[in-house]
Amino acid sequence: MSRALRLQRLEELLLTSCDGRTSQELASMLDVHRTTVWRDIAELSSQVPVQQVGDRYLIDRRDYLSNVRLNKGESLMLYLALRRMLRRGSKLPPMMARAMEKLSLAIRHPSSVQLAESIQIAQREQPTDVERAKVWEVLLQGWMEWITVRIRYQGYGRTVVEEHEIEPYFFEPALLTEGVYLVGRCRQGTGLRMFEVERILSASLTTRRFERPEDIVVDQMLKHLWGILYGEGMIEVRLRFHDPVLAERVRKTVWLPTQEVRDLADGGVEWSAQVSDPFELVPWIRGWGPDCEVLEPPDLSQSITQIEREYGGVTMTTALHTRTASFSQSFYQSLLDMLDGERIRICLQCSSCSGICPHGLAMEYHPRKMIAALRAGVFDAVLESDSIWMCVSCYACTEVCPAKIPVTVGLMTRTKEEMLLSGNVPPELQEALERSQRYGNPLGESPRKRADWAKDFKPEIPIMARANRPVDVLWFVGDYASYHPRVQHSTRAFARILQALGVDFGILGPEEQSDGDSQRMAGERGLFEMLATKNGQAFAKYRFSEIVTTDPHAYNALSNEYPKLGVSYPVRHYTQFLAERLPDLKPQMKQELSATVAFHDPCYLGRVNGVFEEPRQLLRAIPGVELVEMSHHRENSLCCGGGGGGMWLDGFQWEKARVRLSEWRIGEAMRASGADGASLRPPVPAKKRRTKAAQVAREQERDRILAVACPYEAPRFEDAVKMVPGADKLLVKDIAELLADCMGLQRGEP
Amino acid sequence: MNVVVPVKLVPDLVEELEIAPSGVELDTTFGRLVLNEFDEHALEQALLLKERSGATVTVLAAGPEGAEEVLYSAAAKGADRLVRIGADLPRPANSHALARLFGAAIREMAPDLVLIGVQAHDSLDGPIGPMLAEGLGMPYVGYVSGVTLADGCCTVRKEYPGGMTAEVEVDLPAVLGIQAAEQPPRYVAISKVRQAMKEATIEQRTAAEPDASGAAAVSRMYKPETGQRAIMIEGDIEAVASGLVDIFREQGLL
Repeated sequence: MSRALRLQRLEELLLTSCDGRTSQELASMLDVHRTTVWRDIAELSSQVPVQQVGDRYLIDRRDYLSNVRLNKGESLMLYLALRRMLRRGSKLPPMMARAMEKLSLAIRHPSSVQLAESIQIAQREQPTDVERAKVWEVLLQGWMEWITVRIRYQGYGRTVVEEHEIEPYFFEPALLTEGVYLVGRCRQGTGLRMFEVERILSASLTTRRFERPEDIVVDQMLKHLWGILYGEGMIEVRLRFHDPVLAERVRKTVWLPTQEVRDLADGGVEWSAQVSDPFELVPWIRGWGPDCEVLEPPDLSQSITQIEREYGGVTMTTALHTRTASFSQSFYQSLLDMLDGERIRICLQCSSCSGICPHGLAMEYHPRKMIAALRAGVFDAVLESDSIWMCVSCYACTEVCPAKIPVTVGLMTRTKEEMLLSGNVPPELQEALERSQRYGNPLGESPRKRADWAKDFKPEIPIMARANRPVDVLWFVGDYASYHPRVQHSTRAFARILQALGVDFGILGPEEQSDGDSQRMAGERGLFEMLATKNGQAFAKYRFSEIVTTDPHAYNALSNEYPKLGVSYPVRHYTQFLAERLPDLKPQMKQELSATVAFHDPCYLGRVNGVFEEPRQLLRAIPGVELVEMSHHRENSLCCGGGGGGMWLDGFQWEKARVRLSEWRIGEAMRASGADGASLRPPVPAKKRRTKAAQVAREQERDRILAVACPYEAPRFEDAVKMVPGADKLLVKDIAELLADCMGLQRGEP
Repeated sequence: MNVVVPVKLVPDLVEELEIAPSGVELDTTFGRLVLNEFDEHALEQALLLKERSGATVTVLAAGPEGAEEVLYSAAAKGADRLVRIGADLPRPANSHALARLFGAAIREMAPDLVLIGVQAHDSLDGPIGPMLAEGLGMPYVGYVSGVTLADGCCTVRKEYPGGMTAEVEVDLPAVLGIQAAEQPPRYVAISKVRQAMKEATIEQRTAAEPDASGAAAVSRMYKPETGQRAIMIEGDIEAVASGLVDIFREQGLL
């Protein structure tokens, strides 16, 4: 062991002992001679406050500034612990967030930067509660300096406010809730008690110091503590779980050290434990919903029934929609009736969905918590909150769910539908939906101008109604590709590629309506059906062999949803169509681009429909292009924020999250493509430096490009480039634009 | 409380407007019509009153195709009674004619309150509201952005130019020209509109061609014409800038 390591270990040993350690003990622990220990202690004393009490050495924690240094394995463990805290999706108290942020600094891995960012976002969401902060400050000071504290305390479900003067001994997190308990002795002589910090209404320091008692053994004291009172008679709680799947989970999990689990003949289990206050279990028991039956004690059982009845009896009214008592149940049933809907029963509440959700931190009800509310029969609360409008229908939760619950298409979309039916919709989204209904596009443009992008295009773009002949390919252009000035650029590029390949194609022009897919995912199913029907009628008028679309959302609707409405045609995304024609394309790719390109997988092309390879094949085929991957790619791609109505909720979502997903993504693209200037090639050895210099210069001149394949993305990412500091070197280009560039087809384009 | 909301459709400004060959009106042959935005607010205000104090809301539309869609959508939002007057409207269908047409239908309905959009962008001969009130012999308050009902009267918030607001007490029955409802018009899901199409009924009425007299006659309608007075300064930035400076000096601005 080196001296530096030994000094660090010595410091740890002194810190981890209450009463200090003798030089003899230290010598044997460090496997060195006592004289070495003395020398080391002398050395250590110059940096940290080492004290000698009799023959024992110790470090006074109160004067010690912690200094954490972790190795790789320890870094991972700390990273996991912090992620777990974050993924619980609970509101982080500012103090906790600060501590987590500092700890994240100790992690030796680049991913800790994202962790710190996530923590900062979670923290920003929380309004500072001055009163709460004051209570914490007083308790902490009392705890650190052995001073008694006077508190006013209101117990769970009680109206009386108690006043106590307590000696604060230690803090302990609650087992099943997100609370924190303070354990201490009441000076009025009622012995040890546990106080939930959230329920301490106010606290003030006294001038009385107290002696630290000898007998604080945290684990033993906690063994029976579930709730508030310590030291009184234990009460047995017995619960029964009938569902075999749940039973299996109950068998495997230890919630309380005193718990016992007994198998029942029907495949279920009976769970029992000795606890001091069974009422602290109420939120946990209710989280199981109807699957958990309370056998003992009777008053706990009654209390649960009472709560269910009270909540069940609530009639909630919004402007238009009266939800009856059984709304939560009927909504649950409607989810169960969906394809794979039954799977929601086996939700483990693992919170993977909420953790991976790019907006999870900004949602009061994130997917895991929504399911918990559903099971508890209090789903009305979810509808009272507006957090569902943070969902961008990116399918990340669906992809990660170990139980394969249809989270996106089921839970999230159905919730949006309910919100919409009750007229509860953010104004931005309302406008887009009204425009889609009135004009057939969410931008509110004249339907007559849908093919205006093709005006003056030479050779002419055939519009089906005018061309009056069958074509091979019907190109479904889509809303943004037709109207948005930025996306029109990609649209024209694709048109030129089709013409260069000699493809026989046509477009619907003014007869084309929005594909309606994002409106569907935003909860407006009726509108989707209306638009799909109109498109279906337009398709039926003409003859073509297949549909090719430049829009992944249209691709998803046409291939997965329209057939359910009787509108069924072969359909491909343009990247699939072109990848098949690579042999014809390659000879035309004559211009070298010299670019490092990161490809952003569109959610509805990649994660939802499994098209990952074709866009990459096209990019790799472009001469001079080096294709790199961002940290989130393929199934794990990060949404641009435009899906599920997100395209029309920009202001709403920004106000809640204070960051745009597109901006996160730009950060990733900068790092992956080297647009941040940091990740150029590794240092070159001195000898080769001269010959390599030219190469490095060339390297620096390369374009850094974020390639996209969805019409939502170019405008979103280009806006983000303007927002993210230092991102101005990053170009955002549609794959069609890159192809047209290297094929020399962009004459006359800006 | 019986609330009537007469609504009209106006040309949608998303489309290019064309002048009809007659040269005195818009060509509506290919144009698209939408519900007048202020009428949408009048309907929203009526629905808010219904939710707050209980009321029967009747929506009354006259004229062209597309009126039914508007009526069904109103039903889906919560309107109780839908009436469409299928009349041969005189051309141009001016506010005088519509006020007389609405007035005849509304008198029979014996309303406590008539809410109408304070204006419409195609009302060349003035807003309908005051004329309607005159015909019905009721008081009229325009530019209203809030209504509170009481016994036999109501208190309204009336907006004045320059950010002034007044509270006005009006005896009922009355006609109110709504500038803005107390909250933005609500969204109604298409599925609800479809349901309304199946369930709601529209009372169809016919009326004789109403009298359009009293309005100023339009002698010519035309798009803004390009003036001839603009001077384009040619050349590079330097030339353009010094050209501008010269003009500013000439005008005494520098």
